Amino acid sequence: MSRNAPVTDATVVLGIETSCDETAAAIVMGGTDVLSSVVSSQIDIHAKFGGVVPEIASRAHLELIGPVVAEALDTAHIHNERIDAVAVTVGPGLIGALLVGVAAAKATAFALDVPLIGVNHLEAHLYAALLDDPNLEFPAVVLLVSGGNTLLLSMDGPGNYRLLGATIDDAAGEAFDKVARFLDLGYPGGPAVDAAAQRGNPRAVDFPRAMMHDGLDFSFSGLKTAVMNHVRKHPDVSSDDVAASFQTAVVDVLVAKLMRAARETSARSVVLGGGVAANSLLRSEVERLAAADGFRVALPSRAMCTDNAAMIAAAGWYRLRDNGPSGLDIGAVPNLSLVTDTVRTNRAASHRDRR
Amino acid sequence: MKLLAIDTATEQVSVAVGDAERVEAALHVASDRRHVEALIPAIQLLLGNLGMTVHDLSAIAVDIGPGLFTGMRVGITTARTLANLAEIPVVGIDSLSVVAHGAMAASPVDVDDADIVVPILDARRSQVYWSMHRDNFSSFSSSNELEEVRRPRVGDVAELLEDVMDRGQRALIVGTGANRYAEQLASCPDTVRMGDRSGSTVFSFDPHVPHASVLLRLAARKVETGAALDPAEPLYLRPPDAEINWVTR
Ligand SMILES: [Zn+2]
Repeated sequence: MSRNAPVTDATVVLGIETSCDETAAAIVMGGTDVLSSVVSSQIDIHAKFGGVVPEIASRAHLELIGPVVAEALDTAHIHNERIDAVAVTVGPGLIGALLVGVAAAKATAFALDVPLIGVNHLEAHLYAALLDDPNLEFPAVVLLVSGGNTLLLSMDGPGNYRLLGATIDDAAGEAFDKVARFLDLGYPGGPAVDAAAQRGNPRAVDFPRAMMHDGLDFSFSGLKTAVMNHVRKHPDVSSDDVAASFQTAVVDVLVAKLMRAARETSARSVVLGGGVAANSLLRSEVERLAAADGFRVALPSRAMCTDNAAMIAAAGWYRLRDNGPSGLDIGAVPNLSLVTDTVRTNRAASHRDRR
Repeated sequence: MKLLAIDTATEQVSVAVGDAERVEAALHVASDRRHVEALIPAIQLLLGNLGMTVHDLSAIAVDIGPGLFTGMRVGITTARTLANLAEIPVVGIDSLSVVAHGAMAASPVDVDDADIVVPILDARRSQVYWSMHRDNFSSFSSSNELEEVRRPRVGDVAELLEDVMDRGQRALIVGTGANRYAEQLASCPDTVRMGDRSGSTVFSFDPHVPHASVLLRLAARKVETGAALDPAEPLYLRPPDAEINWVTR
């Protein structure tokens, strides 16, 4: 595709994602048609450490990126010449990990002489729901919950969103990982807690629901501490009961704020995204309460909730159409924020006012 | 038979195009570690000025380290990706060989005066990377190749000194590590630092950092002689730190 060709439903975007511990590549046509989506997870490599080791992740990305891109092209039956643009995650994420993907994307865009599009990973998560449900009704409220983020956003359409709330300390997924590690349930923490909770009693321990009635921001660090204190005080307590009670406390807060945000913004749909969106209790509670309140629900498949490159390619397609390509001199931005500077300044001010 | 050489294993971004006889164009950016930002624009500028694209290249050479991990990975990923798309081979050369041969190019007299050349790169945490090379003056080779007599390794300056003294030969030391630890290394009676012998020596380029033009010649000779090509596997020499980052997924 020449640099000035119009972006159409036939425009083929190669997406590349290496922000954390998954090496991913995908081919998406027209922003919605996923021709292939390959994700090579490094979970096994990091499992023995109970968390992602940045240098190990970066080394694995270097070895995996070539084969993963090749597999994405292969699966989609696409030749290099058919790629019209290359989209890549530039942040937020681990700097060493991001650099591998950005280097691969830039070299590909340069060699094929096609546009390069730098994509914000968090923004891309918002497109996962659109990929699974192209007829998603706007405005929507999106709860983006992962190991790195807990964000509540209002989305009026592609590229048009604003931040409603965020965690003021730990991300929800971070709390899951830490509690799983503390209870020795395994890694990754989300599925481990989910599995243990199925066997436990969710009402065994009444853990705190922080900031339940206070705005649309979240706090999970106190809950994590409460779990640790409880287990230290009651060493004989069942891990399953603790996991179930902890999970219920997290989900109660997440769902309550999601529904409140949906009511306050007169949303038509509620959407889940991010790794924690694979949690079975969160999914069932959102479905139950959204149905009760008359909202449409979009629960992307687990493959679309967790990190993947299809969402990067989709976000890239919209960005290319609406904002044009990025320069070949872009870099990786490990602490890239989703919100615009104005919004961030306003939020900082409102935090100060509250104190 | 034109090659593109990429060197991003230290703070610099260095690229060159040419063959074993001639460097057609070279660009060296003291990039302050902005490897990923500077590399493709530098390649674009170089090839553009020569009226070439990656499809006019016969191979891509890359510095595989040891050095800055992030920089090495940017260079290796870029080289592998370009080579794959142009369907040409990629040749990996280690950073210490590049520095040793750079010393040879900058001052053959200094190299001739020494028994061995010891390239030393700063590895941070009070450590250095080094290897050893011997002037291989074979009459049937006009190319002034250095022969590697000690594989690249990492260690404290004390270990390096011991290694040099064990050899009992007159060592020409060169590289960022030779500069950084000049004082400690001066205590070793057999070492001479590159550039110290004659205060007036002016080099055409800084011999203490790897340059793509030197890498280019090394790789081009390998390709032309049909020598077994090193795969562009990174030479880390250090296991990864197992420091956990909680910002996941
Ligand atoms: Zn993510």
